[in-house]
Amino acid sequence: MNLLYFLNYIIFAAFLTMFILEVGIAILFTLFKEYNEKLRTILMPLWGITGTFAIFYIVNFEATYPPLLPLIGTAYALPLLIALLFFISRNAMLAYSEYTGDQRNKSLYTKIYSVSALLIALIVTFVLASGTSGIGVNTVDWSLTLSFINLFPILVFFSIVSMAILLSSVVIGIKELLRFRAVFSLLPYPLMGIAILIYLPYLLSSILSMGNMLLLVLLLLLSTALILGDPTRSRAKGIAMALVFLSILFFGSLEYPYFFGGKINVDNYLVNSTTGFYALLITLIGGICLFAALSFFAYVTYCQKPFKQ
Amino acid sequence: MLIVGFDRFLMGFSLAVHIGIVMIGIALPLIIVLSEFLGIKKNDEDYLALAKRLTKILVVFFAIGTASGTVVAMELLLLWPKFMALIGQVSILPLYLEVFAFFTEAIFLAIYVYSWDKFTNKYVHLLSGVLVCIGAALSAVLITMLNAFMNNPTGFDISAYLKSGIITGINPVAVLTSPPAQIEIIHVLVTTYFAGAFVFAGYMAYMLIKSNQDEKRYYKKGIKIAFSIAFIATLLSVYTGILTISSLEHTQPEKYAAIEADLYPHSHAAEIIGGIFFSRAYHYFISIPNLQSILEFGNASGIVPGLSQYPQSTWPPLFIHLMFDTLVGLGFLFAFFVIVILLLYLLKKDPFQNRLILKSFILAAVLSVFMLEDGWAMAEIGRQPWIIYNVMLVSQAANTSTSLIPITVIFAAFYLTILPLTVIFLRGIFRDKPISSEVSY
Repeated sequence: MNLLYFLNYIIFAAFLTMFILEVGIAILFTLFKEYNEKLRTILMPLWGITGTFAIFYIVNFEATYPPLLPLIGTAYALPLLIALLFFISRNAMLAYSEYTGDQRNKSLYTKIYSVSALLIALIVTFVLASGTSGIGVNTVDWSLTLSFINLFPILVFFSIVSMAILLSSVVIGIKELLRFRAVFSLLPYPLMGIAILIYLPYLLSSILSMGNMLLLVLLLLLSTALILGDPTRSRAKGIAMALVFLSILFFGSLEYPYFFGGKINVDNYLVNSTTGFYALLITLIGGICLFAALSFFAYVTYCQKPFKQ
Repeated sequence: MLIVGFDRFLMGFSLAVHIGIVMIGIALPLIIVLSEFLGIKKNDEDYLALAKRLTKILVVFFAIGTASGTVVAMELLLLWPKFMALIGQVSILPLYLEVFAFFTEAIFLAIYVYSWDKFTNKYVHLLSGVLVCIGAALSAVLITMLNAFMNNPTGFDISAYLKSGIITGINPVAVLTSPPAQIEIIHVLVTTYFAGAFVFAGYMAYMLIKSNQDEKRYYKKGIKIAFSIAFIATLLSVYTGILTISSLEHTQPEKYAAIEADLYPHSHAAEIIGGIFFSRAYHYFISIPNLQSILEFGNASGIVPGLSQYPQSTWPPLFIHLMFDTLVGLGFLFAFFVIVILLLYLLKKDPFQNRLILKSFILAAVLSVFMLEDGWAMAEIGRQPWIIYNVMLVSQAANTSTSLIPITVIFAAFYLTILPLTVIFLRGIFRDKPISSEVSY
């Protein structure tokens, strides 16, 4: 696998894992009012960083595949611009809800936030699914057709929702949902399996490669550990995150090296070697610094106790 | 061309909104950090309460600013895909490095906001604020490098690219070290601090007029901090502004000529103030003989470039001359204003108690934002019709899909709704909550 593709997909998987957690929290806000404050404790310090990860992925994509940008920019301008409107709404509502003193307003802002986050997830899923399958994109003039709306992204979306509920309920500790963790951790497999069988059957042969088989076994082991283990232990949080992160990586590994349902081989659209080298260097050095900063952030925000009670 | 116009409008509108918000995101952390520093050093709770109150404002604007920044980043890709394809090959490094600066800002802001009571050494908390300042300033520096590339492309074989469309001779590091970029970066940074500091000086002035005696002492301390930054930034803005205009004579002569209203190259060039262009000439202006040549070359015999040297199809819109005059006029007015305030302060005539001066600060806040936007608009309009000077036309880079028209209108309407809502929201949450109620550690 190409190193630049691999790193770009790692960044994507990191972003998507964080965003899936947020989608789960957005769903839980609407389902469990009694957990709202607990949900906020996790979400409030994190949302800005999740947004920055989205930008990280976009700019890394731009630095990795510049020749693809005219195609993608032309094809997906409209849905992505609509998603951006909801992104502004998401950010504004989160900030408003954090500082408003009125509980009714807080509840209203939180509801608008939840709807915005879910709509972003839905639109982004449609775009990513279309980029993967090529369905709905006229590759002659790179316009979108109505077949952009089809069963494939819907199946992917429900897989994401299932993972989102699993991850957020484990991280927050929602007892009412943890008893269904077997359903939420296993459901994405048949959903994605059906999606691949119907729309991307050529990916099936990729599953049989040694690396992908190992990754699949690892995913099943993690799912089993999560189902059989105590979901309230702190290590369950790590397992749930690893499960989501590796599931995304697994799909990326299956997909490589094709986008748009096999029409585009990404290795033919890579950045020139000089810029690629510097981008790689920045990714590695910046990535290490980022990891250190995020670890410090996680420690201070979620582990360290206030010095004065 | 209609679709290109929509792309231009949407990009310009989004940038104008983003610049207005980001100015707060850059200047406010500095004000907050100085306030917290003074609070710790002088063991003064007022400064700490002020820092906490301002942090809430920062978080709200950071939320909107992050969104508007993401919008701009995405629009670069979605509205100008061919431009980004070239950037991706040649000069993506500043944009990519900016992501890490942005991470620094986002991560340490989250730490700063949620860890007031988590460090026994108060300076550790302050340090997280300093890192927010550095992250915010670096973001501005790096994104300006990309803009500087658009004004002075470098790092690839331009003549080969213009002949064949193939990108060769790539040096992606050149964009980070380009000398013309350095002047632009410094100017952008100081003018952003200038506008941001004046906005908060104006806010403090407004609160000094409106609030009761007990609350006044907080805002008086706040206005002193904001004014200190504004004073330094104003003088530096004037100085770097002069350097920036001078550098245009070499790097973007059409822009220089349009800004200075020079139709023909000539020596002993006068400084033209005002004037309207029609019938192939400027009319109704004031002329100061020789001044332009002297400012540019140090002597009157220096020859300034003229628009006649270039094809009319590459002239920028000539109204940028009036935008420039407005900017220069206001710049010198601001320099005079801050010097007067400083003199009053040194003469122990407390300027922050005078209602007229406080009202002037409110007016200055509005004008400083106008100047920042005016300066950016002049610089961008002045590069037209190029998106990358002498390399790629705006029309060549644009996404010409008609589907963009409705979303352009929706975007404009959405921003016009969310921005006033944010200001109303902030007013609402602070209305019945005195600053003294901010719990300090």
